[in-house]
Amino acid sequence: MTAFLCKRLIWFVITLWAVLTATFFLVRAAPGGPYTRDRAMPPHVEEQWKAKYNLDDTVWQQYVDYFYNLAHLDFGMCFKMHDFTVFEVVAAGFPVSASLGLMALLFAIVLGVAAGIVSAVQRGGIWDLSLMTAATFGIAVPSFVIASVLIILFVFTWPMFPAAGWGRPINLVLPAFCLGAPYAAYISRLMRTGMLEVLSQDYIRTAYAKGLSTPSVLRRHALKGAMLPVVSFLGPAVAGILTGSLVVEKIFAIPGLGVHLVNAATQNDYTLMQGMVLVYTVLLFSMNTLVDLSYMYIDPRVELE
Amino acid sequence: MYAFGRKLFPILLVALLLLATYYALTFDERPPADFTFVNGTEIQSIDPAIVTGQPEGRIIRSIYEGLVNWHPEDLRPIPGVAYKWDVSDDKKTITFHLRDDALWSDGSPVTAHDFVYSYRRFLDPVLAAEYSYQLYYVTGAEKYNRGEVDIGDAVEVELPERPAGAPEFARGEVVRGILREQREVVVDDELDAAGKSLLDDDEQRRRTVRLFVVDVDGTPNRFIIGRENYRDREQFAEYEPASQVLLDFAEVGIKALDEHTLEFTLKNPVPYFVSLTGFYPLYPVHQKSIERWGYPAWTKPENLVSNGAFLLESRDIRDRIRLVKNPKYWDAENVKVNTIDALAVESSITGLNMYENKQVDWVATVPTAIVPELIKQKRPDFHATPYLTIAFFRFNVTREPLDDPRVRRALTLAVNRKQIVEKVTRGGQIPATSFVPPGIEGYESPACCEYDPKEARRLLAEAGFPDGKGFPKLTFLYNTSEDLKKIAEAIQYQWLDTLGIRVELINQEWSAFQERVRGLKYDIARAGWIGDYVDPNTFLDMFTTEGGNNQTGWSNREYDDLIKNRVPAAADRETRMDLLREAEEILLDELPVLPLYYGVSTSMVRPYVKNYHENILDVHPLKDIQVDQAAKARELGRGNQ
Repeated sequence: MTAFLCKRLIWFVITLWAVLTATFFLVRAAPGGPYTRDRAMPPHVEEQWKAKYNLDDTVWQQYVDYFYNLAHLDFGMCFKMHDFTVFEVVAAGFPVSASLGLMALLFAIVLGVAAGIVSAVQRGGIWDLSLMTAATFGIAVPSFVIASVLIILFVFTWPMFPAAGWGRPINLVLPAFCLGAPYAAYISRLMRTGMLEVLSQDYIRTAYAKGLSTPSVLRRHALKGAMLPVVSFLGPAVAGILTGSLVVEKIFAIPGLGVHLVNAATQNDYTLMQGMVLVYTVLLFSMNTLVDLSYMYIDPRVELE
Repeated sequence: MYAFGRKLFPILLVALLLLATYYALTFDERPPADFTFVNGTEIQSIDPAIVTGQPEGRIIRSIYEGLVNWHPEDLRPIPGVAYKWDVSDDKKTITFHLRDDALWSDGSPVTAHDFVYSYRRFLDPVLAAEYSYQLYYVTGAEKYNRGEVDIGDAVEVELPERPAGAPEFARGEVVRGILREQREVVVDDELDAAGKSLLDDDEQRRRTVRLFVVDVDGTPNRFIIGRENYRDREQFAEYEPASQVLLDFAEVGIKALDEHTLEFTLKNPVPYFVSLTGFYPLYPVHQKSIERWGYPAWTKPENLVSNGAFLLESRDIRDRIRLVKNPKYWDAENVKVNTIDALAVESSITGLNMYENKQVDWVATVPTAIVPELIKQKRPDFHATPYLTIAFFRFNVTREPLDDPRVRRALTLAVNRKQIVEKVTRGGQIPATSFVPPGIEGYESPACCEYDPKEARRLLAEAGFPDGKGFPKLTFLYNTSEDLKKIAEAIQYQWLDTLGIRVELINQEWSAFQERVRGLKYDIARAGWIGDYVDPNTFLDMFTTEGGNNQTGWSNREYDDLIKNRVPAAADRETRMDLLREAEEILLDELPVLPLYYGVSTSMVRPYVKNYHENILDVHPLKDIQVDQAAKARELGRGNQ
């Protein structure tokens, strides 16, 4: 396991370097620059501006400086939100995105697993049919459509939730649902398939033959085996929820990281862009590693190398 | 270990999840503010000197106060920090008298010296303030801001080290003297046989050092400015490093005559100068806290010292800014709202949802797509007000056939503005009949651009393209937006229908669009302009030959002379307005631009919000606003949340 982790760490450093380098040159290749404004900047102002943010150095000098500062954990000032460092922006946005992502994930797992089990047990029945139809919808319909429908229903028709905003637990409900819905749908299908496969195994028949009730067969014998595909899906699900939150964040005015990522790109905020890419790379890499590690504990047949 | 871990793992995982959920659902809930509004995108900064834009303006107007305020209805200057002002007979000297009871939030008085400090900082080239040109009417200000110095000028040399005992983030030590010599040297320049540099412009600029000889108290001192690795060469050993050499600020026409008297000396009479001091970039900042904390620490709520009706209590990025009433504000008894929440909501549709759900009391902009519906419903809480803006197109007059004024006129006359406004934008916009929007007192624009398909066809034929035959395929450039796309398509059709010419539509992201327009890499491009102050000059001065926002390639000597020399020198307001009108006539005669429509500002305000006024700059001082809390409670009781 130590060897596995070391190997991962080396790959992590290489990936990070490659991603940051690519971002560094890509943002600078984009037309315009952080000093492009609605109104033309007088040339002498633009020059001072470039000097302020070290953009008057050669690109290679800027590149070296960037990694030098990064090694000293200095992520720089935001170009557009002048009062904040990149670190402050991430520190403020990350907990918000994490809360939202976590609730969406919990929701996806709980609803998805429950729906999958019910469908498998009631195979071919009315529950199976309606749940799997709902799942197909959940996968096919994009989150902004789900969001609009939810807002019409639960904000205006039956006023239960606030339209948008942040600051109270109730603000999390609709966005977490929208963000989690497609993943709940995926998980329910995976769970159903996994469950059906396990239920047809001999050892389940043996369990029934011993006289166990359906609930205890499911809980003690079937669940663990059926969960494996779900667990392996959690890696991509976490990645998708983290990076896919920008639409939901915008619709529900949630101060998470997603919108920063988009704004940094469209506004040529070089430092913030680098910071966001760094955060997402670290997150995705560590989440995938965690999921890989958890296999080892769930399925003894898995050996990590 | 393995087996043990496998037993423990699910328990650990569940415990971890529960803990994380608990954390995710724990909020530091705050009581709702008295007044909550949707402010639009996250503000760039709360430093008045460096920001531009409406959301920033709304916050800065609340936490700082300038020399004058604007009357919420007609925008005339009313007392702010200054309780009165005098204008000299030649209208070039303006003296502001500051009130005694204007205080900073730390309790110290707001003095004329604070304004001198703030304006010097605002004009300091290092701050790179985008709006610095607003002070160019003041003698010496432009030269100071551009960092230009001439031989014989009184100059100030800023050294890299701060004077002993100065706060950590104060300016470097300043040495004053008379400039005797200045020259530039490119270090290690690589020349070809003809003596031309082989280095590109950027590299040359990097290697340039500037050398100065300044007489300080009669003895010549040598100073050098440049990058460390070049200025530290042996050849410059006798030069002392400096961070900048500027015109002596004492030469700039901003003087504190005493603690409470501030005098401006202008290059020319500027009738709107008093009003301009109420424009938020010219608000004062607090020297002590800036020099003590440095950037960006001084902008944090716990360190910020300000002088406005409200204080910054907290600031959550892209969430909300909470303002509380400033008990030390001189007019605190007339500030009726105790707490304000300014929500940073990126999407205007989300903002409207929050308003409709009664979560907020005011939305400063309404999504354009919804406006026609609101107009149709005759909603009493929806406000659409003429706004000092113009939507127009730029013609690239350096390209054929747009270099022919007849072609430009034909294209202009072939646009049916009424149809665009009524069928496409549908937001209450007004078809443009001039470039300067109406609503400026004492100014009447010349009429122009009436829809006239016959005349348009005649002009196009005269220019050599009867029925559009042989007309080259032009492109119309706009920045990516659904609303602009609709307008572009409508005009594309109108030109085809009336003139028989085809234009190709191209859209690009905002910054790419800007690059193309600035580089004159377009045929026809959409544009818009918002007036900074209530005077035609804010619209007309951009089309001088070297105007940074001209971007059409158009140049007219008479126009330049009018805007740059004759208008500023005008003896009285009437003559001045006549001259401006003359300039607009030239512009509308040559038409490097196609005026489309005058904009409207839209907002929605709950009826229990009192003292909310409409004006052509879309400025609504929060200090005047009152909320009828009883009526608000009644209205919220009927709604939800």
